[in-house]
Amino acid sequence: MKKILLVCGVLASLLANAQRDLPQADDNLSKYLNDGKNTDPEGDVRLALSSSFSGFFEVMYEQKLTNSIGLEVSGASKVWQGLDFWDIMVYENNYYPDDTFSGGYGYSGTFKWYPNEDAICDMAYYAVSYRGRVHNNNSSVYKTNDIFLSMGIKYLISTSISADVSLSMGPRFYKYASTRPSLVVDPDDFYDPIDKYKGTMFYGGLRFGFGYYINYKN
Amino acid sequence: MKGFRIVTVIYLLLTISVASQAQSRLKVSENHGDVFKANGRFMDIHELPSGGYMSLSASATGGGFSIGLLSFSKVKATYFAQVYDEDLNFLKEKQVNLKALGKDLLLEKVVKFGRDFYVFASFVNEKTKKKYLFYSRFDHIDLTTDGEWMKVAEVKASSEKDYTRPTFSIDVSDNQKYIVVFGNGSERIKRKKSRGLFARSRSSSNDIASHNFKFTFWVMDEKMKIVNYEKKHQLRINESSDKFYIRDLTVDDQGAVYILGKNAITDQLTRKEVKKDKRATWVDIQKSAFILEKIYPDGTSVQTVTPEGELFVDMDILFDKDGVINLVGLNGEQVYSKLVATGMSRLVLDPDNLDIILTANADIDEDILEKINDVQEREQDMNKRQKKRAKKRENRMSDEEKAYAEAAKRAALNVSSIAFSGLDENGDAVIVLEEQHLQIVTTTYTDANGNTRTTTTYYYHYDDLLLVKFIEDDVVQNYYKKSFVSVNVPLQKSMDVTLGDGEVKIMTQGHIVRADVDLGNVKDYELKAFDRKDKIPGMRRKYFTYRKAVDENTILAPARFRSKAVWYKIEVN
Repeated sequence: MKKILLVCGVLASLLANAQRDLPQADDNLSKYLNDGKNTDPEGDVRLALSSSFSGFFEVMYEQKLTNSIGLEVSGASKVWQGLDFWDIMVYENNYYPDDTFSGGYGYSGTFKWYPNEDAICDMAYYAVSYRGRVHNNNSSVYKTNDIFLSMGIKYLISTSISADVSLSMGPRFYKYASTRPSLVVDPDDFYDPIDKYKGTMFYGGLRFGFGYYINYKN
Repeated sequence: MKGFRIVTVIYLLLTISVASQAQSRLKVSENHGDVFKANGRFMDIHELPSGGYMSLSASATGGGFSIGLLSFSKVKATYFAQVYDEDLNFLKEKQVNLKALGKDLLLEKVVKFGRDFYVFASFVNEKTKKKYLFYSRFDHIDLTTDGEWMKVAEVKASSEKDYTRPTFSIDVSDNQKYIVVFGNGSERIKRKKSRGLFARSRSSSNDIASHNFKFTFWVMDEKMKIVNYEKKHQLRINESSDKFYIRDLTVDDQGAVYILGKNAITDQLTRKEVKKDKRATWVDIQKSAFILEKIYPDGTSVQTVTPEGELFVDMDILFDKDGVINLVGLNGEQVYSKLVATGMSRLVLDPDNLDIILTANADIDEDILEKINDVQEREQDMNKRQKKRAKKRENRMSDEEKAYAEAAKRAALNVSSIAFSGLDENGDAVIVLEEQHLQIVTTTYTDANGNTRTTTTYYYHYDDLLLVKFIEDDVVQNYYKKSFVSVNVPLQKSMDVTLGDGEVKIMTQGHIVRADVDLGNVKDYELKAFDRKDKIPGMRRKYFTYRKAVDENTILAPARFRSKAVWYKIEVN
């Protein structure tokens, strides 16, 4: 009788165990980590809104190279005269004469370092950049070449929309040339205005823009 | 001959003197490793199986800048692991990579389970509104995760303001055979709406809402297979509407989970007392009971409630080597609607049916109360005039105030919880109580122009210790007088206690205290490491924010100054 009771007890225990719906550890990480946010992008296409103040429509592309390094290139086209903060506020229009530029183009290359190995998303970065810009009209050309260091932050503001804001500073190398008689200072150099206005000045600025993260794997 | 006698007497006197000196001194060695640059704040330290130690630290990294009112910043938690030799000399440091599929996981805990180390990390998924817990093996040589991340637990997570934060707590059984994960999901914080004097609607959060009434647990065996699990478990007594909140949780050597719950009604009453609620329901304080529930791996459970008539302020669960359960409690005495701590008790329970096998309890010893009770201490220091005034004041008291003042003389007034509890190698239970209270001082300054400025300073007092040991059904007690104040910041941990060779060793702020087997002799030692005059080459100043007892005789504590760190090894011989 005791044996029968013991067997019944063991069976009841086994049955109870079998009936328990015990979860098990799961290695399907994407099921739990997929929150719809593109936090591991390989590319970022961005519109640099800050460039529009200086008259340029600028599109940027950043490519993740390693977990801590990103490379960014951009192309820009001058769409309106724009405002040149440094010329108006600091240099009082004296590094190039009063002239208006209806056209032009720009380009840049930036090397970004993400110290927390979060390239190219949602974290602080340090960058070194080269940026060239050409402003022109029918008779004048004004060129700037900027080399600057930046400290910036990237935000993921929705599932794939990025925001980039950075503070930059460095030297600006500028050159102005014109064939318009009223703007040429030395009449003897009327047809050879090159190198008449050139030099180095300080450049600093706040750059910002919005972009879209691309993940080529998906 | 006479000279010989004198020499003998002097020799004997010297011997006795040296012996008594040696007896009153505590031998403590304080050694430290090299000074090194460490990242972040230390979170934990483990002894490595190969010798030496491994510590973990957390740091907030990122960057930011501001232009006028515009401010931009981005920071995230990063974790580092450091390795030391046996003398705590720094060997190497490495950032612990907790990234999985591009997501940053949050470090919860690193545990030593069996022969391996495991890292537990969590992730809050805003899409599924859940917090997940993952684990991976941790290679303590390369300081990297070893193998895949596995999801093991999940709880509800809400980012809304009125919800509590989801949490996980991870514990390992004494025999290192089971890991238990307790999960508390986000719960809505109930706010009571009340009407003010001018009928303005006010809301106040209720402390009771922050207690955990429901929780989920997962128990894993050595192969990390889940062997016991229950979702949103709630402590309930049949035919009772009383709600019990979770006070202590643990897993035994067979994978069974024990939950110790306290009746929430007591806390509600004390809160009402603070608010001077006149509702005459204080009789409910009689329900200051604890409930213990054991959930077996097969899902069945047994329950027991602490004896009727005994009021408990706090309680802990302990297991001895044979799995016998010990409940050590801080007993309270009811004075109208207040509950004051006046004694201690130990209940030994049968692990199978939770029947009480042994009970031992005692009031706080009168001689000890004379030394540590604030009321008695104050009375002793009073002069005749002050005593006369006190007598007059007493005569003006209401019946309730008189009853409280009388009980206050028999109580550990500033003790409301058990600071430490443990079982020594003989199976004797030890509890350490610490007097703690918060003093808030508001000062208003007025300058020459009549402008006023008010500052509030919080003084966190950590005072006398009361040591209690239960030897079978006998209770022995002693005390240690101390006084420590932390200004504005409460201590993360006010003391570390280890039990070994029947002795109790306590490390407080700057002192090591040792009580012998029957607590009859309490000795202390002032740590030189904590002395400001004790300088380490390479560190201008030093301060301690963390410490851990790694065995019954050794405590490790890092001294910090800015980014520099040095680990101290304090050994009680």
